Amino acid sequence: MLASFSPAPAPALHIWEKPASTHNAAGPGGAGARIRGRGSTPAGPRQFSRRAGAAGVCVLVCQLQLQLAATSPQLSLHLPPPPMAAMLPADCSRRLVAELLGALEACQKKEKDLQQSLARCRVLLQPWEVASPPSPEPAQRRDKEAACEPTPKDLKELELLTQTLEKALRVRKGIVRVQSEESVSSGKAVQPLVAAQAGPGARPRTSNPKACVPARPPATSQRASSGVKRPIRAPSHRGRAPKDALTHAKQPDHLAPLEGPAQPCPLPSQGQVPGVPTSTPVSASREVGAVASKPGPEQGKTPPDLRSEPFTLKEKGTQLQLPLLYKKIASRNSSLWAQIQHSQFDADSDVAAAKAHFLERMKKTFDMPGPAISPAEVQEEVNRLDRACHLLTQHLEETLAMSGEAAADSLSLEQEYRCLVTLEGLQATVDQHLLRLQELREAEEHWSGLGPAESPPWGLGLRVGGRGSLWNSSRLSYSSARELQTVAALSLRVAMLKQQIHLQEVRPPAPSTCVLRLAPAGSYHSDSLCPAVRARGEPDPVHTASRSVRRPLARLRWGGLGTGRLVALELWWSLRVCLWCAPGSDGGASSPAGSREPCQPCSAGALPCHPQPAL
Amino acid sequence: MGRLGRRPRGETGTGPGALPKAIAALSRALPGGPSPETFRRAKFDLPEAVAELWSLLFSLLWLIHQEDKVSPRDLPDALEGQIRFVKWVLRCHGYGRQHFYQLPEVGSHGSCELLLAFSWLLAYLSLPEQFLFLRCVHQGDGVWISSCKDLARCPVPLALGPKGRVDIRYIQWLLGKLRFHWRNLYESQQEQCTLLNKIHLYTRGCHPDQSIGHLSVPETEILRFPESSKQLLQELESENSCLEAFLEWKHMELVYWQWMDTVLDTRPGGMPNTSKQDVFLPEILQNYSPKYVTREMDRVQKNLEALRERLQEVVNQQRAAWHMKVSKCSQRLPRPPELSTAKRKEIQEAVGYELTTLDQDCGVKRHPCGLQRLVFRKAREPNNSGAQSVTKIIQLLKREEASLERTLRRLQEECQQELAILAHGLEGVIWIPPPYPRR
Repeated sequence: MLASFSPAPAPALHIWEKPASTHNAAGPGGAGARIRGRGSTPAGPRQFSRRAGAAGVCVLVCQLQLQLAATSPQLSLHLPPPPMAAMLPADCSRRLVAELLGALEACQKKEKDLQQSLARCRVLLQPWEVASPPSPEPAQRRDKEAACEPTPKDLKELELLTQTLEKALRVRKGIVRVQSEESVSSGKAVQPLVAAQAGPGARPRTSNPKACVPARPPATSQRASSGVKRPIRAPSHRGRAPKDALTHAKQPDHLAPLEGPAQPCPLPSQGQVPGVPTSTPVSASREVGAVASKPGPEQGKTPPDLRSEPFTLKEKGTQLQLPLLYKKIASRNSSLWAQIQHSQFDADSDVAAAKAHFLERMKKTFDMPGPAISPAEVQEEVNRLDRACHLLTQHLEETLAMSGEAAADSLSLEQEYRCLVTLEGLQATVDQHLLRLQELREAEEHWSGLGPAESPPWGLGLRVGGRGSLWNSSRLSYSSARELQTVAALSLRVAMLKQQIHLQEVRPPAPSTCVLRLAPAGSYHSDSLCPAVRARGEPDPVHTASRSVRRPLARLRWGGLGTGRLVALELWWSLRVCLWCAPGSDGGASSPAGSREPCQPCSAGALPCHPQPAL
Repeated sequence: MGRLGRRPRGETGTGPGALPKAIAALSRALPGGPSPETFRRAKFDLPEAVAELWSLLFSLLWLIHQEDKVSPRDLPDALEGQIRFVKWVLRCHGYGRQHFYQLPEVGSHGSCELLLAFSWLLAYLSLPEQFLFLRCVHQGDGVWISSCKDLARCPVPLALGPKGRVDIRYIQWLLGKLRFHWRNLYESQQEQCTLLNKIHLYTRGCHPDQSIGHLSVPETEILRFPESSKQLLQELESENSCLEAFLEWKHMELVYWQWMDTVLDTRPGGMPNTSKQDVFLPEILQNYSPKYVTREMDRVQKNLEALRERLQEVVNQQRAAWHMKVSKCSQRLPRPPELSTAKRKEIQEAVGYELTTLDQDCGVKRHPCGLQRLVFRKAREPNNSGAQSVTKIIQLLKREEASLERTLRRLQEECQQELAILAHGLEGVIWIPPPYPRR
């Protein structure tokens, strides 16, 4: 299963390997764009500076700026402003710009959300420190307890001290190791403990809570009897090799919750540092005592030990226990949701009939002029038709792909017939949809005819909810991080493709008008452009295949023929080509993963979208 | 638990106190629900209930329409603004009682009209259900997968666009910027996946529910920051009480609708009143912007027409191929291998079924609320919790991706042809179309 999808994301991803770091795309103007980023093209900067010397390479240069902004390292270039501004008339570009801005906004918002949740995850994976978790509102609490608790500074010092001591112990451990191991395995008191914790280690999901319960009486008695030895033994455990350390580090954790309010697990260094830590056990035991006195407070269930020593989720995550209160509330919550989902309220009852009856009666009293379809319904229907168009196209593509794969002769009559019937069916559906759209248009015209059309002060979207499948909550299971990444990358890719198609659809309708309306170009000396041309046509060890195409193209662009028009053409190139070879768009099986090959439209020279090794 | 669920329906049916109970449950299920007394007053059209009902309507509709905001909206604080907003939304949903729209914007009378409008919304928009989803508390991870799909379509106000002419470089700059954002998004998403998986892996066995088995990020945060997690607990508790109230309401709903019938009986239909019509209609409808819808319609129509054309072509080809095949076969074989009528019918039915499901698929909306909880399960572990597997979603997404890629390539090719034609018209320009990777 896993093998079937795992190779797929790789090609799609290799272009994205490089994060765009902190780059906030350089400004639209050509001048003074500070360029930074991480590059993989050693030849890039040199070539670029040479090219940049050519004055007046306007569009190319600014595109290069854009591109190199992402690719070339440690470069701070100050380019002359391009002499010509190629302007597009407003009517043909306004929608496009608006859509682009909207897309940008959506991306930014999404990014912000993601960053926030990333930060949350990172905090959780960092060591869980003791006294002052950076929780949003720890201040009040600390104020209250400041009198009897050590200050954060104290604790930090204490922690440092502990670390130093641990290090020292680790050094000494080499000598004591054999000895201490013997003492652990032979010591009577320790024996049941080890047995008790073997359970959770082996079968963490089922036996963790249960394993603790039978272990209670021996553990308590052991604790009571061996209290004196503890400071000596605990450090010796902690000094073990990392692999051992994990299992042994659990020991205090299992002790701690069982001890109840007796005493929290002391820091190993407690005995050695007389002055500082006296207050720690006091406050901690106070806390535990408070917990024990009132049943079921939220924080009470974390093993007290977890709060007295820094640890990471990786080490002790499996020993965490959700607070009892939360467990209660959450289980009640899920059972309520299950009840709601499983009871079919409207399907079978008289309620649905009564509701329908009421709506019907109300409708009879409606006396406002207007078409039967409300504006909200119009909007929803349009969205539905849009989705339908998308799905029908998908179905068509799949049908064609199916019949196209097999040679025409190899299809059986049945298959052939099926294909034909499917296509005809699709045709009929599309006709229906077009008719429906016409109806909607009429309704829409009626509505807009009723009043002046201004944009609403409350935003645009209307939403009709409550119909469709509301109750489809479920769980989504995944089996590896890789799988999760694949699904995330794919859904992002799908969203991106949709956005691209959308932008393609809203591009200005008639390119000819744009070209013809362009102001005539400023005059260029073709000589000054030579470096650029030559740079483009230079032998290219990597992409020899596309070189032949690139050279004439360069001539076309800079040959001095009506450059203004060509700039316009170039825009069309860039819209068509450059955006479309945005990250991952060449993610087919054609290019091997890892090679940084620009996709073909780019290497054809329209726009250097990706880092091109030796332009 | 399940006390309400098991209660037989007959028990809750009629009874002296059933209606106030039902209404009380309803008000607990809705944010800021009014008391049963208000409803009783409204039935008799008493002015005391007016203000409360207006504010109820406003807060409900405001919350619902806050969901899909494009730009932040300002809350109209004055009563007049609120009333106008309510009228606008109801008009957009096609509520057609003139009396309602003629209610004065100072909120002095008309509580019975308001009650009718409220009940209509309740039935028409399924308000309580919507609020359950609007306010559902996320305990699990996994909201982000579905939310990513919404990126592509967000209605853009044209006002965002430039007023005058546009520099090409500006557009190019925007395109570049967009690409950077995609990259960033991708990077963060991948990292997010890794981190989530780590958290799930490290906390295995900690969740009381065996079928989940590990903690989610919010749950781990409860342990990490007990202080700040109180908020989550409170939210969950209030959600629980909402859910309970909702269930209760659902079991007693019938009483309410029966009562509404009696309200309608006492209230004759809207009396013809033409004098004020000219005054209020434009006032309300000026808030409704058809521009966006019209644009969308144009776009959808263009797409559908293109699809129709394409289908026409393909169907013609296919039909020709089919006839050729049949005639070829009949030449070669002594008996023409006609498909039997039964076989044909079978195929037609199968295809018809396929297309119907396709049609239903576009009708179903994915609910925005991400109730799906992400659950980590090792490869060979049995999946006994009825969880949907990510592999299935991957397959679906791959299909979608492939089809979208084809569509995009087709659009690009069309554009390329357009360009070629255009370039041929330019004197002295050599047109070299870019090579496209063909698969």
